[in-house]
Amino acid sequence: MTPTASIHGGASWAIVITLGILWIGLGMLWGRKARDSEGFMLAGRNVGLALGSATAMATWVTSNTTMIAPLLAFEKGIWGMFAYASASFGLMLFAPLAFRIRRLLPAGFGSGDFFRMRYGRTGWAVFLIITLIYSIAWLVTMAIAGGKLLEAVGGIPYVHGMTLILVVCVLYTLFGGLHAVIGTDFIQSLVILIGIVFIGAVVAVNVDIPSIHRHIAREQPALLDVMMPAALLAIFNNMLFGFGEVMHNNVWWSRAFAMRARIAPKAFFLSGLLWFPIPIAAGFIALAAGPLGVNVTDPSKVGPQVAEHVLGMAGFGGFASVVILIVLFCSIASSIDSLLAATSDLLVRDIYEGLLRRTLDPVRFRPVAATGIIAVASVAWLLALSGLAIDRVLFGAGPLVASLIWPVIAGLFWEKLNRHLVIAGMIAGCVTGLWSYFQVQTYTGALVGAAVSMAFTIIARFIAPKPLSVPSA
Amino acid sequence: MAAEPSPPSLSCDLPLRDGLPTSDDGTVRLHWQPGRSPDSGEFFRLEKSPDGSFRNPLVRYEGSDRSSVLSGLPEGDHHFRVRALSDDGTAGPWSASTTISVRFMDRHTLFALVGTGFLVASASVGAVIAGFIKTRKK
Repeated sequence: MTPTASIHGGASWAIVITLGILWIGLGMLWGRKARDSEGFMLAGRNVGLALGSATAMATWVTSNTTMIAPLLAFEKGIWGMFAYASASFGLMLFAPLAFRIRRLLPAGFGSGDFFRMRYGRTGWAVFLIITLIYSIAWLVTMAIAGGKLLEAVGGIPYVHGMTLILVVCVLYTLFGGLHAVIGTDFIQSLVILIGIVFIGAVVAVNVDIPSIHRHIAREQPALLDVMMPAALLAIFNNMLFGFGEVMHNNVWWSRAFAMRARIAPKAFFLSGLLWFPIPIAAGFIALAAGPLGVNVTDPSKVGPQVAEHVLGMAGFGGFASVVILIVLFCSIASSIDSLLAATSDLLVRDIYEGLLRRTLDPVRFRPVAATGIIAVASVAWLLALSGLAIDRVLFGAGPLVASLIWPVIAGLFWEKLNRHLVIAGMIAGCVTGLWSYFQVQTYTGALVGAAVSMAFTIIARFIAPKPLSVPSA
Repeated sequence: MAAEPSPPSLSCDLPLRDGLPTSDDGTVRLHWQPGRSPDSGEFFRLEKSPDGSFRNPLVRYEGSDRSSVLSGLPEGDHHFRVRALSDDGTAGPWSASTTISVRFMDRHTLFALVGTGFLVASASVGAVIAGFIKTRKK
């Protein structure tokens, strides 16, 4: 049946507002540590292994993990579950990159610094356009997912719920900067892990796996087809999407700079390992939708819908909805805050200081940073009013980020390159990837974008290469 | 005099290929609007059949929703119809049958794209590891 709210009105508002007050309070508390811009943006560059791993994992457990991973499993079957989990390889692969990033840019702030240094102002401008479009798209998907979740589970009207979750995240990010983001991420990651293990255990105990298999084999046989084209394509498309996202986005670069130099690679690798089973568990839940007789009307809600159904069957009743609401609220907040902070840093460093050539006062930086955070959130809120399908918005942005995989790898590890060809490859990757997304198949955009950009970058190593710029001392 | 009951209307939002709504991944979203019924017909039954005769139909949904997303359909044509059911079990007339085609991507294109994906992913991992080994002491 259609998802109807199991906890109504007052109770769901109370849960969400209590969580919101908790995060904002912690944000204000931790925000006291941020005395200058470096403390606010990079948490003093002193984050250890436990906080580092937790923040990377919690940030990667987005609404997309808890809502699109089940959608992929529901629509693409067994391969769909692994397709989303393949995004963990991006986190693991970022471990050696983080090591190199800290060596190459010991005083860096974000990925914009790297693109400006290695590819000049033109390459930096292309990167800025791509990353801003992508970051806003990612933020929009999370705001939409938050609104849909609060509507489905908590009975809060879509626009109210979507606005509420954005406002809470904006407030604690404003007060605490990256200190607050990383601190709340740690708590949120614990809540997410405990919640998912609890839900997974209840599902495993209460569903009969052989009967699920029989039902799927009879009525949804394509979900078990190892040669299902869309599912096979989703594996590589999602993996490359994950590579591109992690390698280029300031969310991850700012964490690499925020962690102690020796800690960053270990933290990224560990977070990738910890994250890998989460989309598989979330996806498995969705595979049970048909066998359990759950009518799916919006595939992006299938995960929470089936989880609620099974927990209800197990006798947890309204408690089930409370658990799901808290876990998913944490997963969404842990990513929205990170993206707000990282995108605002990018606006401050690259637009305010880089493009407008203003100098940021390291002590009186807050009004500028706050303007960045509020501007990003406002744009996301306006776009999220549409309530678009989150998978369409997210995968549509895939070609853009996948086109940056090879420019990042080459810029970090190679000494000579033809910069113009690499920049041409970024643009060609975006254009051909988007064409493929719309004209060939949804799950080919990132794949084609990455392939075209890779070809240009490899050619750029051999045709008129010039030494790349190195950071000034 | 009571009006004759009219059937619900059934539709889907898939793109047309060769005149048929076509899915490339076996997922279809069906939605229906109730027709005119003496008992308002708030309860619906959705059936699927491998042929247009509906001799051995499979009930895919029974309930009050007005849409359903079905996944995992194999390649081929699939026929659907829906009818309203009243509280006392009286069934209204069937909607017109809707035929949906599931056609996966052709194998040549698939292997070319999957091969490209494998190549790009492997080359990316290889380039990162090689670059790390070469530069770690610099």
